[in-house]
Amino acid sequence: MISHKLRYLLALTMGLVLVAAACGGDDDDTAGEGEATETTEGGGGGEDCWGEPECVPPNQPDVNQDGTVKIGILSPGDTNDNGYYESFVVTAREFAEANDWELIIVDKINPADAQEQARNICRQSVDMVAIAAGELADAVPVAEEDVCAGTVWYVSGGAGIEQTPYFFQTNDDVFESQYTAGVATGLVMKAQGVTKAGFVTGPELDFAVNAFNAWTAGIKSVLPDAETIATYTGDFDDSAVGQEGAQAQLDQGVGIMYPYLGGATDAVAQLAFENGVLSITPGTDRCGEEQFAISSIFSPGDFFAAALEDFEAGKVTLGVTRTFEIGVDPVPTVKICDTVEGAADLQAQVDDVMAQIAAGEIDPAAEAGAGG
Amino acid sequence: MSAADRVGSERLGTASAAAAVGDRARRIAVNVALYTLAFATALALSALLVVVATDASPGTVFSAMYEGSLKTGAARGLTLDEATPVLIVGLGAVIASRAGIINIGPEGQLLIGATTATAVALHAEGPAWLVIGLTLVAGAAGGALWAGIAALLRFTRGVDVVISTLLLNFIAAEVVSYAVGRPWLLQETTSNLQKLPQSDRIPEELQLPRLGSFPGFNVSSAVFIAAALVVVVAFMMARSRWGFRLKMLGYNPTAARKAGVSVALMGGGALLLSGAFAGLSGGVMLTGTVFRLQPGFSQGIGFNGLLAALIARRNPIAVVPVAFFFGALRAGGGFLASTGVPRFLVDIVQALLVLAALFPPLFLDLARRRRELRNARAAARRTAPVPETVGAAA
Repeated sequence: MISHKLRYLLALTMGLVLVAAACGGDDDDTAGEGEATETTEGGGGGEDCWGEPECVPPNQPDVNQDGTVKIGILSPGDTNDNGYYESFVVTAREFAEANDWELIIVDKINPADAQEQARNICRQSVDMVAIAAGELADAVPVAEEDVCAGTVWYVSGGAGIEQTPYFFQTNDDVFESQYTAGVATGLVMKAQGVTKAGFVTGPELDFAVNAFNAWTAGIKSVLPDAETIATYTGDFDDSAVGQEGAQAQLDQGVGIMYPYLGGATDAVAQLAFENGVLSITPGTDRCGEEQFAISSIFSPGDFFAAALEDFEAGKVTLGVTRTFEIGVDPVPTVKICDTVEGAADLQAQVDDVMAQIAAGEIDPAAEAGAGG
Repeated sequence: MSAADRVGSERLGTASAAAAVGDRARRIAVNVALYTLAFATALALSALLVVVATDASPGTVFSAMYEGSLKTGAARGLTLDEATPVLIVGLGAVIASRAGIINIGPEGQLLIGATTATAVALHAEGPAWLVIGLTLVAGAAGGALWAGIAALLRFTRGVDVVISTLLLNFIAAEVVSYAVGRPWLLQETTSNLQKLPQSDRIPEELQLPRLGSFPGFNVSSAVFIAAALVVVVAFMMARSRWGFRLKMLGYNPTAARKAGVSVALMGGGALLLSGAFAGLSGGVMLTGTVFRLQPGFSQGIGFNGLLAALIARRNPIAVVPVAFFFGALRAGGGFLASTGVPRFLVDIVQALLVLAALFPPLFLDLARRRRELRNARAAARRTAPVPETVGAAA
């Protein structure tokens, strides 16, 4: 009885491995995959520069020459968060519809699973793989693998990730945008007689801490005695913990709220509004909504739009980083909403600060170091 | 014994063997029918959801699941890669449940195992084969240590293992978040402006070798570690004194104690071993597929392993196909998501298929318990003394 079980066990375990291995050999496989790889490389038309510095992939946007343009988007966040991650896909969707391209969106990707999801998206014969945030940087080395040969890779890198010849990225300076948002916040606080401001965010990550420090520095440049409070809830998308953190701040008397969040943004902004406190948007322009006093616009969708325009025009160059600068490019920027009295005057002051940053007269990173 | 007695006894033996075969055939038929029914229902519900919630056809969805998990050599390799840690965790869960201990904490034990493994992989020096070995041992030790907390609480203070192991999962997740968010602990040392909450990637020479290459069959050599563990665990459970004592403890702790089995030693040891398997699984994931520690590192593998043990009904051999099933689901689900099917739908389809796999053993277990209860009541009725009536007394 026992020896029978053991024989069964050995047969089963070894069988699974060896049969799979044997079957794998004869499949070599995936006619589709092999063909796709060949086609894409062939599509280079003799201009095969993949992996070389500043390569301009041929045949953009139908890089693999299969007659359709497919964009695969990989996002670590929820693309229905009505904020940062959603803006990324909204832009892409508009662009795809206008140009009759196909879009594949894979969201809520665990960074530990990023590589496998990148391989999977390449197996859908996409022409471009677009990574919505630097959290999925581990997926990037897959660009060098056969499965993704001949695919254009784009990374919306936030503060930027290490550049290789296999992808291009756009990034921005979190200190610039958040310092300016802080200046705008300080101006609104001054106009409304508020002295305490609240910052609710997710995990205590470097970029969130940097954002808080820069924002605080911006506020203090206008109101040196202002007080700022940060709450790290541990989750950008959990509305319940976001509201808990916001309520604690409201109880301490904050007069303006910055929900530097993802999916939990609306819940926090709504709670603040019900308590008579206006909010700042984290990433997108939502000045049309009554809860918001300031739009801090650094939406990845705007950066992605620029990348897609280049892709459509066949001008995407791999291995390069394009940095969007405040006061120079249309985004990032900061907008004071009409919900605030005297918005136009305040906006003029914000524009002046952005111009000074662009001219190098203000160094937000240094200010944030002092302010933080 | 007379010739007639011998003939009678042989006939009785033949009849009893035939009855056993018939009983076995009936059990197999019931199992097949239940699994067929459960999977048909799960697939039908999934198809309905796909039709209602998306533009895709159910055929496309199931075909993508198949393509991502079994169709090609690469897909089969991925399925094995996904199945390997599930199998290792499942084996540990089987050991604990054989001893009558329900360890709900493999997810946390896996995370702590991965954390200790990462610390060793990033800081230990020496030849690659030695450091890989130390990394895996550190993973197992970390998992055992974490399970040891629950064992200590159980056998010194009587705290329920289900509660303690469950709660330790949450603490483990926070420990990992803390460790990868602090530069002086395990946070990455990148030159990027933005440091993410993750460890450095372990060096290439410390990654377990892969057999084969894309687009053909390719798999991490970790699969052989898992296969070896299956053999060892199955052998020890079936042939060793330890396995017998473990089984005895699981069936009846009181009888086991009276037979000289130390409940604390055997039970605590089983829990520690279960944690060690989960921790080793974390080490295997680190060196085989993920290569760095991140807050979401475990990806639900701990819970998958626990479910695999439940479906396998404490049988280490049966964990193999069940883990393979989970591996296929994970690989197929990932591929399905990449075809544009919304993530929530992928999760629901996966969950329905897991429920389908869970339903037959749970149903049969419930039926068995009801049957035993019914028999016990009937036996009690038969043996209960008949009360004397007043009339009879008179």
